[in-house]
Amino acid sequence: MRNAGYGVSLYLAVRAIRRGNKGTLALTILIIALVVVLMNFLAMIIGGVVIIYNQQMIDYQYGHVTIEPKDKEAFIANADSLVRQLQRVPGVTGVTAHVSTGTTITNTKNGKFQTKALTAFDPVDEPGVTRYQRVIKEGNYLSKGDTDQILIGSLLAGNEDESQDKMPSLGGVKVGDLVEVAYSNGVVKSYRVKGIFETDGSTIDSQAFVTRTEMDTIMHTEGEATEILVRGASADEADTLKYTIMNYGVEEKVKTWHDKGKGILGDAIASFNLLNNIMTFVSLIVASVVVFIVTYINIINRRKQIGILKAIGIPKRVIVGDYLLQVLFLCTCGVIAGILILNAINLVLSINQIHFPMGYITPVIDYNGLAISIVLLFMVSVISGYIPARQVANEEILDAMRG
Amino acid sequence: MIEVSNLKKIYRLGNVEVAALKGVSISIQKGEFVGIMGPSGSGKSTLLHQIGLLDTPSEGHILIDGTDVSQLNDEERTRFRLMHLGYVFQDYALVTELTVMENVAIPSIMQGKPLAECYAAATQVLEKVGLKKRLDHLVFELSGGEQQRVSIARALVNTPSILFADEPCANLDTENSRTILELFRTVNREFNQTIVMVSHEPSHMVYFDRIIFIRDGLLDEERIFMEGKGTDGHGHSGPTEYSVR
Repeated sequence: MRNAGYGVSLYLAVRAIRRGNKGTLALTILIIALVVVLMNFLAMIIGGVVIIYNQQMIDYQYGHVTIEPKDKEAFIANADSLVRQLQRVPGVTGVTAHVSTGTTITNTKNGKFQTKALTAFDPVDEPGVTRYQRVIKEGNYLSKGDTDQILIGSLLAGNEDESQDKMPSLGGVKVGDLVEVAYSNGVVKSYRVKGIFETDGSTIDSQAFVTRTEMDTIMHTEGEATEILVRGASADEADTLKYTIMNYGVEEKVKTWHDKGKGILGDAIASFNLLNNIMTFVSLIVASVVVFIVTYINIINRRKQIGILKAIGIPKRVIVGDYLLQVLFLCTCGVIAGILILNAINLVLSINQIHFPMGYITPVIDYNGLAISIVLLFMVSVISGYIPARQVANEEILDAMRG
Repeated sequence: MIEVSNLKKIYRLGNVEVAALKGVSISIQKGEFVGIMGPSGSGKSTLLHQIGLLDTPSEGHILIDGTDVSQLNDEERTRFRLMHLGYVFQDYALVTELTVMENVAIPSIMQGKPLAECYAAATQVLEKVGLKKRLDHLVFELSGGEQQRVSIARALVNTPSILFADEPCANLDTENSRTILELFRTVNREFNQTIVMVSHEPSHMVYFDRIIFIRDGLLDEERIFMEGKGTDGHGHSGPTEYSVR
């Protein structure tokens, strides 16, 4: 009898869905689908932002692993030998040593200046770790022997029309223009702008670079580095690479790109996630209310039929089961439709990318988040379906049969 | 078969108590076709609902085939209705999303019988009520008389001990009413089916073996038809009845 009961629930549910109002069915499925989209859309955008942000950190700021000076030391001594040592570590595909120093850079044409950390790298080693060489917007990348030339970011170069600048700039520096760099040791030197790079990362595009040869000449930093960037096989293996490097006896501070970036990005992601959680919560309430209303109206319209079924000996649990199966069907169709819509949006936004301050983002569907939202949606739907079904099934037969 | 003793049903409307049944005691034998008649508001449908386990009496006992059904809990009553009772209602009470055959088969399916067996039984009983060609129709495609025949087929499919009918002809014209009543008569005679039917239509009296008259919630009178059962098309000849109370 109990097994037959659930079979009868299914029997009734299938026929109710097949022969019920198709418009209501389609509308309910659409609403549930939109709830699925609503619950996951922001997470999808956040996922895209995180990926581009992470990629920019790796490609332009930290590599996969960054070696920093020991505590209370400003420089890594014996940087050249450390670079050679790191190049021998298994899994390392590129190593570059940076020296940074505080400077004031002035546009000689208009006198506009900015106080910036000027960074020096070896133009031969650098492409093994960072991607500056690939994002030259105008002019050329630095060469090994360049001494009087500078590479600057597009935001630092800026525009002659100040209103177009996103941040304080040199007021429209072009390739071939001269800028004057005042070093912290008092040396002031003019450089020709050899190239302007653009990554869309605001922090990155406000930097400036010269060669190690030039910096060593001015600041006498031969054999020293303020940081050494290391690239490995993949971002996911950065932790492994970090411990491998540490096992090779490197005494300096070894940090992964994730260790370096989590402070800033973590705060941003936490804010985004808070918004996302609020949105998910609101979406769930919307979903539960929709399912409740749909089931309630459906059940109220069929009070008489529920009364009939009870009268001819169909148990309450079978009747409740019938409506729960209908809710599960609606929910399943809604979830499938929602996933399809979400993927369609993802596809459209991958082709027509959204421009964010850090660049064009490709949305990424967070399937773990999606799975959680689906489980939550099913839970609230089942509860929202169960309450009215149980309520009407508990009514007296004759009251229900009166409709 | 059915023993009802001192049956009372009191409805509460706010602070007011309305006694629909004030202590009815009746007895119905196996194979009887019993009519319950009386004026509107007399309590005849209420009596049927109590005996048919569609409602719970306020007081009194109902024994069906030796089982005190007034002591059963909700789940047991549901199972008892499914296994032993059949119902025909005034407004047909069919499930609109099921076809004719599915409507008839559903009580058998609920009993856990194989689907093919349920459909075969439904087809057989629908053939008996003259609806074999309407098996796959939805109920709204049928006339009122046909819907009521589907309802009778559903009530009969599990060969119930008792068939309860609550004013089954109230929504039907004279011709359809006659068809339904003759169908009841046939089922009663051919299968010795016990039928308890509520009616307020005097013309239906000729179909009953016995009539229980209810007035103001009390048993008013009983009339038994001793002879003539089956002597004409309607099952009775007029002058053989006599009143027992």
